Amino acid sequence: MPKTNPGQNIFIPRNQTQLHFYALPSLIQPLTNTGFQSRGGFSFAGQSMMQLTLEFGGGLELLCDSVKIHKVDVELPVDEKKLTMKHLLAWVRSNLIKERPEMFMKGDTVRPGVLVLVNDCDWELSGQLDTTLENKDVVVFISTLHGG
Amino acid sequence: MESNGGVDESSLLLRELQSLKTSKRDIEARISVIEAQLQQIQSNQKPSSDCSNGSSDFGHELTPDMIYRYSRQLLLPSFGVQGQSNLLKSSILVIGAGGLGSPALLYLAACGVGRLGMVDHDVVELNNLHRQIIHGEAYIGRSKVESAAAACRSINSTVEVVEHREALRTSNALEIVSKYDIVVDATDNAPSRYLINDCCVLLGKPLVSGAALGLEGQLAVYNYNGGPCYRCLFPTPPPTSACQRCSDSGVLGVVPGVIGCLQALEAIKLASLVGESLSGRMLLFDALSARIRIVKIRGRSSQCEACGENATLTRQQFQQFDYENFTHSPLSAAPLMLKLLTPDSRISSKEYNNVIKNGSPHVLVDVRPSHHYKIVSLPKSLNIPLASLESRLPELSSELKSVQESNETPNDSDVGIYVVCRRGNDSQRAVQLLHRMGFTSAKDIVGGLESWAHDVDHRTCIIITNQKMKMNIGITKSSIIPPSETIADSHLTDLLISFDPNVMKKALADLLVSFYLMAGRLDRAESGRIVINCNGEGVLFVEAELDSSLDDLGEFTPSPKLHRLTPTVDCSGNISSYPLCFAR
Repeated sequence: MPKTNPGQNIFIPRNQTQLHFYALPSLIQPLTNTGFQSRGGFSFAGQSMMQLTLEFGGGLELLCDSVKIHKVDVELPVDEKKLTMKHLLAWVRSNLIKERPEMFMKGDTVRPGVLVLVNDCDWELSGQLDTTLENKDVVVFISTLHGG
Repeated sequence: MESNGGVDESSLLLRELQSLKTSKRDIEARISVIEAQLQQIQSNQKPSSDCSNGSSDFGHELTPDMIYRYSRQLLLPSFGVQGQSNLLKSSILVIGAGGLGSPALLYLAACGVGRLGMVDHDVVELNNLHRQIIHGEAYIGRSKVESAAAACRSINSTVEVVEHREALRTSNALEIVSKYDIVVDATDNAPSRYLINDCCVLLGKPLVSGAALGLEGQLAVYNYNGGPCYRCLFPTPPPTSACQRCSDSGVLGVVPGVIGCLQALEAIKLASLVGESLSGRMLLFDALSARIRIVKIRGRSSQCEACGENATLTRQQFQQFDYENFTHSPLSAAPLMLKLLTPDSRISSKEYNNVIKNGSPHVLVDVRPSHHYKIVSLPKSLNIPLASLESRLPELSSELKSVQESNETPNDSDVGIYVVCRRGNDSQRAVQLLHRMGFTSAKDIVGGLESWAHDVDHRTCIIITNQKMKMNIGITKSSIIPPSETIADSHLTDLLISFDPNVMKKALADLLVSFYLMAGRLDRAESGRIVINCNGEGVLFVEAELDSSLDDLGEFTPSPKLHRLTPTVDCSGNISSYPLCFAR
């Protein structure tokens, strides 16, 4: 898993006193992060957070500023204990998709021709929209190609 | 400008080249006939020679030649003699001899598949060669299947190569596919993929399906060993806007090469019955980040319309199914032509050329992506890609203002706004947006830069016209001949009566150099004569430079009427050997 933890890097400098002045706010998240590395996610300000890696391919990355890999923290919806793919799709649509959302979604699911893979496995095998996500899961959205 | 001597010399050279090419083609055709005959004779003799050579002594049917040729793969414990004999008995059909099909065909021929079939209707173009490595420059303008078959035979003459120089359609698919054990889908469009899948399901053939675009590729084996078919995975076709083509989005040559090689590998595994196939899994290749991911995909769907429990697909339904309508995209690579705007919001490239010539104050907005703009663009154009047009409108406003000031026009509504893109689709979308945002005078250039290159400035052609079957025409001289009398209908039924013969002869003598074109539409009257639909305006004769020749004139056949025109012109070569083209 990610070996670069920004929190650790910040603690390396000998001159720690300086850090207190300007780096403290940015330390809060990495600190909580290292404290709660359980599979169930971590808490931040009373909200449950889930660390996920989202990948877009086959042209879908063009909808999110041509960035293919996004490491994100997703908040659990209020009154929900689990994060499902249904929640995640809504989150992706409002947080990552920058243009032409109709090229990503149709109704509350992905448009025809998009494969969704949760931990390298077709989401059809894990319950599609009802698939429950866990901390550190990798979700891939890939548009099928037709060229040759 | 070249001197006259240079022109004469180059036209002489062109003629010689043309005649050499014709004889080369004849010789090659003869060679392939003789090769086929020889192969036939050899295969008829084989049974006896096999016995005398004692191949049966080895306990398998490999001849000493085969053992030597395939020795390196026979040495593999997991492949061996058994794998090779299975391969030699198998037949594989590769559909599409393009970027994916090229390496697939080369490897399949080399490794010793018994019978190798190939389907493609297309011809080789210069802009194919960076990725379609089976073809060479010598085959430009000729059938891809012809070219690919020659390459395969030259690598391995013991493989039976079968050419299908046609597009795969519902009418011929069942017949062609049924002759093979394994199908490799190396096509480039969505309707073909559904068509091939359904055909394979009906005939129970495993399908090795590959795709590539840009810097990514995908590969899977469908309809094999209880695994899913293409429709199980993609029951609903994607929207057309999600089906990009290599000709639009670009592709790095080696990317389809990698996928095509993997397709050959999967086909070889299936044919030789070795290893574990990629059925129920999919390989995703990302060239840019050097990542290959193999993912598990769903199994056969019981709901699948092609292979599910209640699937009703029959051969008859298949033959009547409209795949182009199903996927809303054409089987052939003809580009999309939208009509979003009313004619008064559009101008032709020729009209825009007049706008430039008249010096009318205007702003030209090029809405293509900036990497397209960098390849070729029109002078003084402002590049604002469609995706960012809305947010970059202030740039357009300030450009309008500066044009207005430099031309001292009273208000900015006198400054025209013209929008151009590659083919005239995005420019219409942009004009719709501009109209909504208050730039009501915005117009788009019909047909975009391709039309500009074709109709106005042929020097622009080289990079941007890569449409299939499109010919680059550079017009060097032109002359319009009006009819000498008013004609009742717009058809000229008798060329020599309707025109002043002397004017006509002079025009033809002036213009017929090495090629000639007739702008005007050749037609056939009820009497069977060739007529020209000239809309009552006359006929335009032009001298032009072409980068290729047209072999197919559709239903047009020369008539005596037309021949009466040509002998009056002094042409030292044989005029009938030059291509006659007509443009609408």
